[in-house]
Amino acid sequence: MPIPAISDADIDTLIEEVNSASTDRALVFDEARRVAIREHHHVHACPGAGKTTLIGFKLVLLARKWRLRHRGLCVLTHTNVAKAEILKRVGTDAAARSLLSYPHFIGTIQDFVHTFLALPACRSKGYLVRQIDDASAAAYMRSRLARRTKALLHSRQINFEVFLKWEREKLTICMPPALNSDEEAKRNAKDVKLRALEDGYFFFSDMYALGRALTSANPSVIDALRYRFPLVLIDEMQDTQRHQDELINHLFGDAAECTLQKIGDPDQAIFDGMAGEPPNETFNAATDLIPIPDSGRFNAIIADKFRGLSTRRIALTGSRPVAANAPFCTFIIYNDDTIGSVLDQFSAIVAGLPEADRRVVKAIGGRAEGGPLSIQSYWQAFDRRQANKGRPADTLCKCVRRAIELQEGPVRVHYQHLSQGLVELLRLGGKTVTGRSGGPVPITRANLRRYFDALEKTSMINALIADMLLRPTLTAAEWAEITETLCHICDIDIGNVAIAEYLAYADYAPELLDEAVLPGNVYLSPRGIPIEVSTIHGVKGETHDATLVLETKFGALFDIKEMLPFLINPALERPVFDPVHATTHASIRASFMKKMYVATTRARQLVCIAMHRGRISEQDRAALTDNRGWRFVDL
Amino acid sequence: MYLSDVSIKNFRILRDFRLRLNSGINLIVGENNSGKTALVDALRYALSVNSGEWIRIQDRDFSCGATSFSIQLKFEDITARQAAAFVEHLTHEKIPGTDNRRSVLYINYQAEQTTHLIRGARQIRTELRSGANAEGPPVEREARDFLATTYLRPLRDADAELTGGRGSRLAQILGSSERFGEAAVIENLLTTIVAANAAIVENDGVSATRERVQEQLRRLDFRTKPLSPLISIMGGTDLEQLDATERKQMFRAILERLQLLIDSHERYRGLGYSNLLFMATELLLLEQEQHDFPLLLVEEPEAHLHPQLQMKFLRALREGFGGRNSSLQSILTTHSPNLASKAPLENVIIMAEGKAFSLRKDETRLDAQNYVHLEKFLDVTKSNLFFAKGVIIVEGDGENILLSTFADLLGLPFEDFGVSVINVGSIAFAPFARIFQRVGIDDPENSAEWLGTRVVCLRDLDLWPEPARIAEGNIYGFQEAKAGNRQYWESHYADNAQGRLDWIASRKSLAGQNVRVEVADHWTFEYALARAGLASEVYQALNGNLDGYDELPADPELRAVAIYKDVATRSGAKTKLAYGLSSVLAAKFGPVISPTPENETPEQASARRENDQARTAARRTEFRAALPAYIVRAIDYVTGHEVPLAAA
Repeated sequence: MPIPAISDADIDTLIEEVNSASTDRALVFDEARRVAIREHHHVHACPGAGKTTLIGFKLVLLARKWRLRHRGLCVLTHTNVAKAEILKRVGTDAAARSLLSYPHFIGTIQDFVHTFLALPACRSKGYLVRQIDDASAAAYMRSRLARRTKALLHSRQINFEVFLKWEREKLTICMPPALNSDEEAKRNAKDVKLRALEDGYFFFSDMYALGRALTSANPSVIDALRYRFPLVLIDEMQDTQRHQDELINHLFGDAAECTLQKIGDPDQAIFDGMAGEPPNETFNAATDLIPIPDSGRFNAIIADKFRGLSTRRIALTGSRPVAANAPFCTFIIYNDDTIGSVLDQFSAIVAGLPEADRRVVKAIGGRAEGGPLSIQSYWQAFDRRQANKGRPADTLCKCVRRAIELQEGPVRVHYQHLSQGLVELLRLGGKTVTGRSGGPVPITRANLRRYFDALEKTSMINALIADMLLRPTLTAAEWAEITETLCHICDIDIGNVAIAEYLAYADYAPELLDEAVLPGNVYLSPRGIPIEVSTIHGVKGETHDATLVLETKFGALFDIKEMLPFLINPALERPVFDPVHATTHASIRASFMKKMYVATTRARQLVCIAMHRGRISEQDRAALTDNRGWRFVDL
Repeated sequence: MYLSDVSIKNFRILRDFRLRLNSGINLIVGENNSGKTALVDALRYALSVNSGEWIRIQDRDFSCGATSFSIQLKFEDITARQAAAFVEHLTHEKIPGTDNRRSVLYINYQAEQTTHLIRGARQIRTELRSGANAEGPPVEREARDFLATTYLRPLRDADAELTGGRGSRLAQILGSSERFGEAAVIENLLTTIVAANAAIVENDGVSATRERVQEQLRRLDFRTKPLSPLISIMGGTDLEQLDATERKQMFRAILERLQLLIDSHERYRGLGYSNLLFMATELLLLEQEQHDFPLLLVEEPEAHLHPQLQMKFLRALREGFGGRNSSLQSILTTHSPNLASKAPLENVIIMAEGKAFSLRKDETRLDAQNYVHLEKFLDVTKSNLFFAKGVIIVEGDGENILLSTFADLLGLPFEDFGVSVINVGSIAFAPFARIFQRVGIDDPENSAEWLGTRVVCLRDLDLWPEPARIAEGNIYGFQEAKAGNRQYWESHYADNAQGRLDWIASRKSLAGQNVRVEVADHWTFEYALARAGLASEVYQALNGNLDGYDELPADPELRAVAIYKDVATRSGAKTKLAYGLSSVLAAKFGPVISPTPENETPEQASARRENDQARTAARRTEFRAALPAYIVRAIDYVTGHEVPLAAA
């Protein structure tokens, strides 16, 4: 057996090591967790089950016994955050550090597809990959599509997304339905798409299609992957989308020489159906998951209050000891006039916690803005854009400005932004570098330096980049000076329209800095307790000291109101999500349940819920108070 | 999985080098400085060597004037298990005629001289990447280990390799034995040594000496911390107290102390056998690591092996060492005609001037029958054609014996020009000549890709002059004219000049690329000599003197027939002529070296030498005029005194 066997004795030894080196609460593994380490079944881990700790622990044990030199462990995550989390755990152990490199792989599913399938496929087809990024690929399409095609897409608000798709055993270009009836536009879109591929601009999903196509053209690559990775662990399995899930099963499912262990919490699957993608079924609907129902995050009181929100009915328990004199879980009931006081009321309740136990306090809601009831209804200043600042700039000046304004964050990131801007500039200028085969190749971030080396301008460009990174301000006059130097160094003609546009001056955007809003959407209550306000999606995977769940509205339904029956009676029949009819009330209720489950299982000490007085009956109030231990505060 | 293609740019002599390899044996032959070692070193650099030796790129590894070099290797026939080690590096090559793809692996080793100076030397940056255009990710050290090749150096010090010592090869080989994967086997070895160690420590002789040393020490050290010396083989060791790591260290230390001897009765057997033993152990290691990529690089296996042992070695390789390693790919370089003659011809690769010319079936003009023929007839003697700069292929002993004398007398000794004379003993020139002809590039435009060896097939014309006809009144006639041999008579073409030209052209049809065919000016080699300016010399060689020569007819043709009649009809005459003619010619046309008179002044000596040289030169000119023109052309061509162009 290529996978080393792990015994309970091995587990005990490592627990002892960890506990003796740490001052935290002693680590204990119950039998459910031990089984997940010793064997490789699919696991349903409840919130706070210590999933990442468990995986890290398992990886350390496996790494210590790993003897194969050219076969390794594969750990797939859904997000880079989860990947970083695992890397952090693994990186602290001498033996496990070997997992960070060949022959092992730890990364997102997207990384995996790139590394082992799509990038080799691109190399084999002669595509030079310049950028794999939806925004850049869409921008590429936008700037090259014919006016008529653009107009058609615009009219249906489609984002220039022409993907490659693996369909009916063939690699095809998937046309947006908006172009269906227009042959000329379809031809145009196809031509531009093919050019985008040649020029190296890819959508993320293109990479899946290319990877999938490769496995059909050369099925032996599947055997090779199975042999390479005798054990594949997948974290956050509930969030994988169907096409990812299908690819994983296509590669590793039902293979004698390869074991697949999926770990996740189907109850928290709030990402799987996003962006119109159908959710995965092999995990989220699977019946053979081994549960880890005991949460180390919260106490038995919280576990009992919210177990009715577990879609898969896990027998949720909480093993954190109940703190004496802790505030009670409370419904904050407001009316139209008092909605603005909800956050202050919450901070008053939180103040009852000892100071050490109210460090991470958050108020979260399902809907960020818009509609009759959203997070903004509770706090006007809430700015969703704060959460995602990752869009690439459309002018070099914006690149530079971003680098100047990003006060925090490593210089490396700023530098990357600037290099990407330079690459774009040189591309517009039609510049190339001499590739290894002697012919000209397009400039990428990786070979950027070679371009300047060849011109013997490396020191000049470095000085200019340093100047851009370190300057405190950027005026139009200064920018003109910079662009002149830049064109000289890069050997670029500013007379070119596209270049002139790209080098245009971009003014300072003052609306980004509103004095009322602390960085990161933090509301500072009169009591001085900072409350971070966020969407539910934004706090996935987090642990709080106290959480306030804000009621919001989707379509005709209010999320808290719809979940009251399950808070009152945890045994109720669960609503079922129907992927074909995603907007029926039952489907919406099913997705409310998952979101509410995620929202209410973050906190160690305290969960409060804010809802409008008009949406809760006296009867329900009584049931919640008398039978389920809730308190109520009326504003 | 095997190394299928090598392409190298600007590595030493290999400026623009491409080679397709065989999956089994590849025997690389060629003269010195043809690039054999450069090729082997290029492979070692790119693949790394599993004896773990340190490879350092030097400035001299770059071709003159180049600041970077690249070595690209392509691997084919990759099994899924082998591909597993390289999934992220594979190239999926289109299978022609289908929509399917297959896995191949490209490895690109690139070195560049940077402008950074470190202690006066330019820093050299190296990189190993995958991908057909080196655009793949860098290849990890561990993945590269998978490709590590087993390399056997020429003239290696096998004795040193087989002796114990830190990091010794033998220790590595022992350590990788599967049986040592079992804890009990290691345990057993450790306890044996510990027990032996204990016995040694307690041995009377040892312990007495130890006590004397301790006695000496006592006078030197401090009372507070008395030293306690120990004489043993392993140091003070209590097995019980060792943890896993210490046990491993001890195990390794024991292995490093072991040495391998070829014969338990005779301790020393000569370097050759040590080499054989060393190769055997290396091959054992290859066998132990079966799933990896087995490539064996051997430079000059003949270095210490006598011919019969070379044969045995090659045979073992051919048979894949008992079939257990049938997938073993090997690349051998050699100067040994023995090996060259025994290897299958299609597995031979000729190196010349930094280019490789594989004799694979689709790369030469040899046809299938030629391969069969050569397998039989390309013997050790003929195999030296692989190492020559020029080759004259002849059909008989006469040419074979005399040509080098001719060359000497023309002042163009074959040894000075690396010319071999190959006697095929028949008119089966084609198989030998086609070894030097590449397929599909006959156009002189491609002459840069031709194999540079200058080859001449020296053929008889085989047209009989009229005076040789048996006829009334012709006392010199000895060839009977029959209906069936009409086309062999010169007279047949008296009114048909084109017919004679066609006859010659058909004999030259083999010519092409750097292979020429020179057809005798007249009839046969010996006849042509007599017919040209060497009638009296041939006569003298045949008869021992010139008695009766003057009575021969004055007409050159008639005289030549008269002399040749003896050559053709008297038994043993050809051989006698061949051996006799050399000394006759040497006496007449050889270099003049006048004896040194007494009391010669330096001026006189140099005048005398000048005089000698002038006379020698005159003799050469005279000889050149006397030789049949086709022989002069052949010798001029193979010795490089004529620009090789598309052969006429």
